Amino acid sequence: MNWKVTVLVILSFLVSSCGIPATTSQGAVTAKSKMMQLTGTGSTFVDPLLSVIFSEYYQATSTEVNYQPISSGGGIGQIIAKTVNFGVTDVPFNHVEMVSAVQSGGPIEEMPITLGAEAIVYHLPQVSTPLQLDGQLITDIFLGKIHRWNNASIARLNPDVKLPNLPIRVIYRADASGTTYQFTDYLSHISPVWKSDVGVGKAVSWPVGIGGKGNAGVAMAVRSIPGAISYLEFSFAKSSHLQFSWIKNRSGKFVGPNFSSITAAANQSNIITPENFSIVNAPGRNSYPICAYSWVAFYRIQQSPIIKSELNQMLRWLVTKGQTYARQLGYVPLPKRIRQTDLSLLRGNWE
Amino acid sequence: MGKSLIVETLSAFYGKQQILRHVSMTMPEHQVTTIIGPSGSGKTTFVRCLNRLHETTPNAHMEGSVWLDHQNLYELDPIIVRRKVGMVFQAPNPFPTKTVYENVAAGLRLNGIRNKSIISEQVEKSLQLSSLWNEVKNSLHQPVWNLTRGQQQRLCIARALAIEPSVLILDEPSSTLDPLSALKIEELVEDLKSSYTIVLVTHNMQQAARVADLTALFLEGELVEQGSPADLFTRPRDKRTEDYLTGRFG
Amino acid sequence: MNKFRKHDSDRLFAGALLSFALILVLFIFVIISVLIERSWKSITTFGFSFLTGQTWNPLRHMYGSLPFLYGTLISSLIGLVLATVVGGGTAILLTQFNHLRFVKLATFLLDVLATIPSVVYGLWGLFVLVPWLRNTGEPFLKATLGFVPLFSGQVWGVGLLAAGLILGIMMLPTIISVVRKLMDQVPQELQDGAIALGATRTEKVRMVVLPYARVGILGAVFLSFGRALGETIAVTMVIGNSPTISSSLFQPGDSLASVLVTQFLEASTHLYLSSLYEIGLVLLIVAVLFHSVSKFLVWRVSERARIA
Repeated sequence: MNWKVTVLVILSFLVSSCGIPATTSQGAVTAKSKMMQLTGTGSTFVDPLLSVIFSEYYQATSTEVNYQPISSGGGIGQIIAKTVNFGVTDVPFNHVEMVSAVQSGGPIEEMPITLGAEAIVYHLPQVSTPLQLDGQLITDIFLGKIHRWNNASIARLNPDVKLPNLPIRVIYRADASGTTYQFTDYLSHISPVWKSDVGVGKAVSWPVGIGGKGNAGVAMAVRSIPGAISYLEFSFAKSSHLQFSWIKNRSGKFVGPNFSSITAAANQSNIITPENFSIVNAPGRNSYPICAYSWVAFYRIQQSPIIKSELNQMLRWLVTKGQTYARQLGYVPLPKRIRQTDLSLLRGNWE
Repeated sequence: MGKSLIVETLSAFYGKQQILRHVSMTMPEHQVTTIIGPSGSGKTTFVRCLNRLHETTPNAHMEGSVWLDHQNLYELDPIIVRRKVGMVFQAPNPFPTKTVYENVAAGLRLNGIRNKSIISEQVEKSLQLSSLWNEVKNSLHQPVWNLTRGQQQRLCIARALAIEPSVLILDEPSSTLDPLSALKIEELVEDLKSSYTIVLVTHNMQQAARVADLTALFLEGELVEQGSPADLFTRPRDKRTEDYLTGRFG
Repeated sequence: MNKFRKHDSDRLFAGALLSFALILVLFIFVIISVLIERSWKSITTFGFSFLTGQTWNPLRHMYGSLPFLYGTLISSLIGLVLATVVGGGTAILLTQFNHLRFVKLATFLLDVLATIPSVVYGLWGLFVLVPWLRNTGEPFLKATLGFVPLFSGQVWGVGLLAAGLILGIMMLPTIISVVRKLMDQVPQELQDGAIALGATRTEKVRMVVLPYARVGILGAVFLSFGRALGETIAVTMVIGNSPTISSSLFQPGDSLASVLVTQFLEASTHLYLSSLYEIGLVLLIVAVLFHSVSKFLVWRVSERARIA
């Protein structure tokens, strides 16, 4: 019996490694004529937005886009495995991934498709006004240097809040995720100690705390543990009704995550490339300091001209008309300049 | 040790079904009382009522009284009753995970006896009584399934005797044994009756005739007739006894 | 004529059986070889230190599986102890005191418990067991047994203890139902034999029923332990997902199966992925080892029972 169980475990993870959408490589066209189908996979964070956009796109063009939200890493993996037409990831390809992709199917094109932020969420039963934190404090908490909520350095930033004498319980994402990447990216911008001791990555070795699996796991842990603190995708934090803090930005002002503070942060960087994509700790009085783009990735060289033109059309729609659906779903539309960069990539280099 | 066992208007039930009807009889001390009757006549139920084993079956109960040494067994703690009234079953049922020695000692340990020399003494005495000692004295700490079925049954007798009961019930003790082993059990019963009140259930009328001082015939849950085997087998007073003996019944 | 045809169909049947068996063997062989092939990079990079390494840091390309091995074994062990004690007791109650009215209800409820998917156990663990442990259970243990390292340190609620308890609760229905079946198989004559000697119900259980059923019970316990080793979802939800080794049962830990599901999809580098495959391999080896040891133990106990 334990054998069977083991075999099942192994099997399930073999299956998952073989790629979830079992489409043939480059073979996503199901019919020659008008009935087109594109397949993509990747980030779970953008899934609510993409499912609306793709459903609208189908209404408009009768091209079906099948998107499987597995994970950013999964998106990259499936692109390398050439099982999908496009992948979506919260962090662009790193060097190693890029090399594998180039060996597999040639150069990769990447472009931002939406904008998001991360909220510092916490669970303090008696505190109703948002806490004010700064980068150093957040770093110290996640390094395990501050143990209790009524610590003097937290109190100094929150003179009007009666802080409870509760232990601070750090929660992190146990699975590798773009969310963790962006958060550790921010902490590394703030603290050289964090950068050298922990580093930036989708999965790092956390000095303290416990892990939750996925956004949902983290949210559940925060909700159930008094004194908990964690980082969550902003739209998810909002829909989970968790408390989130304001963070001191580079100009010394405390800002909470919202539509305008995220846009303000994004507007600080006009040129975003897959190599230079970080927009955390942005300057500007109204900028929220933990923001990031999500990216779509696809091969520059496409075997099928039909697929190529369908993909091109779809992506153009995604970064233009598609952006109008962002705000109502809690996402932030791409700044105009970024949209133009995307379009020129689609128009020029890749048509 | 032996005391007479007196049964008064005993009835036994499984749920609503009545198995025994108003049985009254006396089983005198130092005598062998045999219970005979066809299958399903209530013999086994009757003896299981004597040590209150009947009531451990779900939905079973009994009415009436059983007296031993001026005490009504039905007013005593059943645990005490079973220590006074020992029982040997139809098929040998030694405890399979215990050794020969531990099987005999089991009842003593249940009685809280911890003293090793007392236990050893009692084990030897009981095995002597059941005339098994000479056969097992060198294999006391061996598993019981090395014994023949006949030896196992005598082991069960020794196990019952070890706690020194007043009454010993044997429920068709030789029915599953080979003839030679059966004979040994029969001889044993003869030997034991000097010290115990013995109740022997059998469907073998020859056996009943050979060993009994008193015989009782059960038919359909009723005690039809009792008396010395000579009287009962040769001069039955009840028509049903005659029918049974001549094979016209059951 | 008839005889020949019968013979032929027998041969066909035997042939079919044999080919199924071969497919099964082949299947197992494929699984193991794929696992070894995929984890080869990790095996060659870390060698034996993969098993002894205590650091799991994808960013620094350090992969040691000891914390997961530790968490898997400890949580399964806690579950095993709980399930054996409580499950065994319940099974005894249900078989030996079966005249009680609640038995039917309890049996029905146990059957229901057995059908609950593990994710539901996980949710229950997270929302009921973990808060209870954090607010009541663990503080109590800490206050009374805090001098033992097992029950010291910061109280989280989630952690090895929570994972072990959930595993134990998940194992309960299986253990109870198997032990019950085993105890029901204890011959009535044996039980009557004990009762006729003046044994109480409890004494009867101790003297006859448990010794008779012990090999089977041991088997049932091992079976459940094997299941616990591979349990994933429920453990992931309550173990804390922190690859650390701590002597305190209150501290968060992680398990082999759990790290596989949480990190597999996002593993980006070859070495990372390869190390996760090796985690799978380690899990497989632990399960096989355990299975062999338990087979041996059951064999030895039944052998001893035959001799002693």
